[in-house]
Amino acid sequence: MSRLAHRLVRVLLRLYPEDFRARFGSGVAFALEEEYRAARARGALALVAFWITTSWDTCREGLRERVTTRPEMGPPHTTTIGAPREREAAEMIRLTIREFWLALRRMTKRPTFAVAGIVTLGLGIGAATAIFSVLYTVILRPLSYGDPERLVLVSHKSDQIDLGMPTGGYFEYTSRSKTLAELAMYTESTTTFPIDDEPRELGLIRTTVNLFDVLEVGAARGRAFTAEDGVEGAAPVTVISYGFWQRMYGGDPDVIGRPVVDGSRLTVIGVMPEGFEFVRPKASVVFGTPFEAPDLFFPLVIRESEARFGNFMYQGIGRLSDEATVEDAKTELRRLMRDAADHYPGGHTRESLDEGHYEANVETLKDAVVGDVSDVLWILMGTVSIVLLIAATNVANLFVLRAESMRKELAIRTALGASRRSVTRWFLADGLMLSTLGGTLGLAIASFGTRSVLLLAPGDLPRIDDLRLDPALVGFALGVSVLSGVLFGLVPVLRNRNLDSGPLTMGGHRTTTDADSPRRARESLVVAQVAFALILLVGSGLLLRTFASLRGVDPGFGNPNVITFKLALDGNQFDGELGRAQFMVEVTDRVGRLPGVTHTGFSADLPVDGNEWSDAIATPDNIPEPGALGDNVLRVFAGARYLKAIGAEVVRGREIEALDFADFPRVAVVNEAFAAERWPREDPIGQQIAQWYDGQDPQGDIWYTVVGVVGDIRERSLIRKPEPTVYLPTVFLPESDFAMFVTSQTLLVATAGPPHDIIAAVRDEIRAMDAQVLVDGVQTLDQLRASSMQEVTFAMVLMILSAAAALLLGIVGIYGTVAYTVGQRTREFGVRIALGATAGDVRGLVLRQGSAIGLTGIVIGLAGAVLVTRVLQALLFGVSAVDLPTYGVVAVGLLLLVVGAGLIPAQRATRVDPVRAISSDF
Amino acid sequence: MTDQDIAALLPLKTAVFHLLLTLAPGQLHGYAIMQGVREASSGLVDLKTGPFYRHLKWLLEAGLVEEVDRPEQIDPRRGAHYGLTSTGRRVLAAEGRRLSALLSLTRRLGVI
Repeated sequence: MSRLAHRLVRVLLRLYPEDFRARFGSGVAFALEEEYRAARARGALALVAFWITTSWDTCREGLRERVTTRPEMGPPHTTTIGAPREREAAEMIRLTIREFWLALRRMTKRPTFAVAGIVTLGLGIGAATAIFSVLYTVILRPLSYGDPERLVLVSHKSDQIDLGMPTGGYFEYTSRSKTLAELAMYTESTTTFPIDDEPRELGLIRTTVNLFDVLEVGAARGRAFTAEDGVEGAAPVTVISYGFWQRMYGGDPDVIGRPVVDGSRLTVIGVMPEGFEFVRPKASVVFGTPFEAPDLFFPLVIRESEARFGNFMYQGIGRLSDEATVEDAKTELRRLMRDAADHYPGGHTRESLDEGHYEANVETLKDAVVGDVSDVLWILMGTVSIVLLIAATNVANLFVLRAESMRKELAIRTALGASRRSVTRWFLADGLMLSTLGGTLGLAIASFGTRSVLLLAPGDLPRIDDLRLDPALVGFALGVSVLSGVLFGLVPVLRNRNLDSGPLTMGGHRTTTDADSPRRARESLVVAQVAFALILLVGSGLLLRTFASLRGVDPGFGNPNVITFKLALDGNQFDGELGRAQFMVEVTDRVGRLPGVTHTGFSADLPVDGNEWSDAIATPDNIPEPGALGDNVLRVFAGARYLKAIGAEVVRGREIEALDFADFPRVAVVNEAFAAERWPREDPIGQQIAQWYDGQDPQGDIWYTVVGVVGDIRERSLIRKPEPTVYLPTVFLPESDFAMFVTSQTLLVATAGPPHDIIAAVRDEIRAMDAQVLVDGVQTLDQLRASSMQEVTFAMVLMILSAAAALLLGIVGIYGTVAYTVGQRTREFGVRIALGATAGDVRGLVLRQGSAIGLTGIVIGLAGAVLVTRVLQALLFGVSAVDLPTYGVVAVGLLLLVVGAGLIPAQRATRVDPVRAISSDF
Repeated sequence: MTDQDIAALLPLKTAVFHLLLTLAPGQLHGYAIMQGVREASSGLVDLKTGPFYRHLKWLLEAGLVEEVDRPEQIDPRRGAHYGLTSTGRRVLAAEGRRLSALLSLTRRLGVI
């Protein structure tokens, strides 16, 4: 016996209850195996028959055995003796199975009806389940921390700018807040680090030692931080993520207590559990590139004596105390914030806080994490719900149509004594059978769909990595199926309430069409479909136009063939800041001499990546008052020839050049918006600007001379209009606090040909200069632009897919309805033709019906679209939510399709043979 | 079990009757009983595994059949061995008598 057959038999055996298996299991298995052998000897067909009958047999017997677990008292053939309840249950199961069996047989007799229903429902349920699983994974699923609902993000905001936490706020809130049981504070940064000689960007979290206590998560191995780790002068320690432990140490359990790398003073003290994810909102400040999952955690050491209420670069995560609500905490922290300005001087004062409309902000961690994307996801959920609704209406419509075509049969059945109950059961079995099969197909579509969503989803969609078909979602799909099955089953029953009037309904052929009310019900279903399809099409149209306008946006830089290489300059081989600058200048020169390279430059920041900083910029005649913070403008750290490399237009003067880096460069470039704002009537060239920090000495060495003006570039993202921006020479900051964080510089290489061809040559060149420098972040500027559009692209693709499904289902609905009516009115058309109606008359008659339905649906849909597309507003760019051309094109196009759907049945109506049509009734 | 109790069990289902008949000459394991039923009835009673064990379970619980010790030489994977109890024999005989009475009645009336 083959292993598979053996296993199948074991699986089938499990259908029996355990006590039965214990008693007869080996006997049953032996018998089945013997029969299998005999069947196999007789050939493949016998083998198939064996499996079918055996499965059926075992299912039935196993089920019966489970239902009647108590021994039957009488012989198997009697019905008089025995526990009545169990007998009744067994009887009911028998009847139910029989009912489904019959439903399945009815279905195979009408395969078109069955296939149409199953596919329609499968599409609807599949799409809804796939999107719902995204919604569940990202939004509804609770965070995997202890008591996650009490975790809050503590942040600040001033006039529309979101800010993090200042050190002064941390000490103030920690010591005086009664609504927060505990508060932790951290910063994010990245560093490039070789793992197996491959440069990897690592995400680092520097946090107050109580972070894991706040989250209520412990280390899986070793320990988490203790208070001693956060004391100044403590031995440097780190807690690593499970992923880093696996990648870096191959999961070696002895890593605890060892240095991170040989010779380092930094000791690994703990490994976080496998499923632990540090879910956190997008940090307002990241030193380096934003990352999804952190690899290493370090204790953050801050002296209270140095704390001040300014520089909001930290993130605060707190846990509410037992009775407090988010609102309580918000109110309390808003009050404490102003005290903090007094208690921790050197930053903001009460007055400057009031002036800038600063406020403390508290929100639940989950809202903070998913807030940005939840709108998009809810829109999508709404979209697919509509598709599901359309699918369900279509199937309900099919059932109504079928019920009507069976009126005669039903009437005969009722006349012959079929009870209302048995007719109902009959229809319910039909509905459930179809919806269960549809639901199964839907689950298959959903599991395929979730996998496709993973490929499409924007990289910053939080928690999306955990996306999978959850048991809860399978439950959701099955629930929807069963519910719709019951509805489908009940619709025809309710529609045929007058069944009991018996023989009267047998007179199937009325003179004109069927009764008005079922027709109207059916038509309103189709009207609804057209309306839904229109709403989805308008939504897709608007997103499509958004996509087009984003593609058409002039970002301010034009070079299509630019590829970037991120170089980590954190080795000890560099001679301080100047050494690093010299290295970058030299790399830029040497790569620039490679064949095929047209321009090279370097920079710390890249355009449209949303990773820019704002600084207060002072001019000699506009120095902020002591205590005031000055106006923030966008500040880009550019290296030599950055603007030329990306293809931006320097409109006046020059940009920062390699020569400037021979010493510490004191030159700057500003964009046109900045120049127009600061020096509307003066020549910007030769003006002085400075990065302003409170308490700086204006007489000191802080000024940069403006040497050029560049056209406006969209530095933050394609959607954000360019804002006043200054381009300062990039710094390499080797000795400052965050030395380990700002040591990466990006080399930009513009090429004449396809940029990917140059990658190997550039890598070789860099290796030839310094084999220790790690190269990472290789991507083209086009890729950077594309990722900036990912959110819109994602929503657009999903919405277009839903709209296409809705359109398809809607057209099928119209076609079905018109075709059905044509069939019903055959006799009428026959009479009309006999009385002299032309083909054109008849065609017009049918087309008018279809167009009337279509037009009503379109008008309702237009009204609905105006209301619904408003929620899309946040995603739209360069197009209004009530964009008339989009509405017009969609409405006209849909009308044409609707009329087209009626053409085939209309043509059929003209070919009615009057003699046969009229006589067919008698 | 009184004669009245036994009469209450009659008539037996065809499959059950054949099952008891197959066990009359001696003890057998489950699959052998099924084979025996098929052969003795010349394939007329096609007893499938599932229903067979349902009947067997009932016969065991009603005390007509009992599990017996397996002979040494038989592969234990074949499952337990079964034999008729004295009640089983009495029920089988009663059913046989009932059928034979029916048969003679049929003959006497000239039906066959």
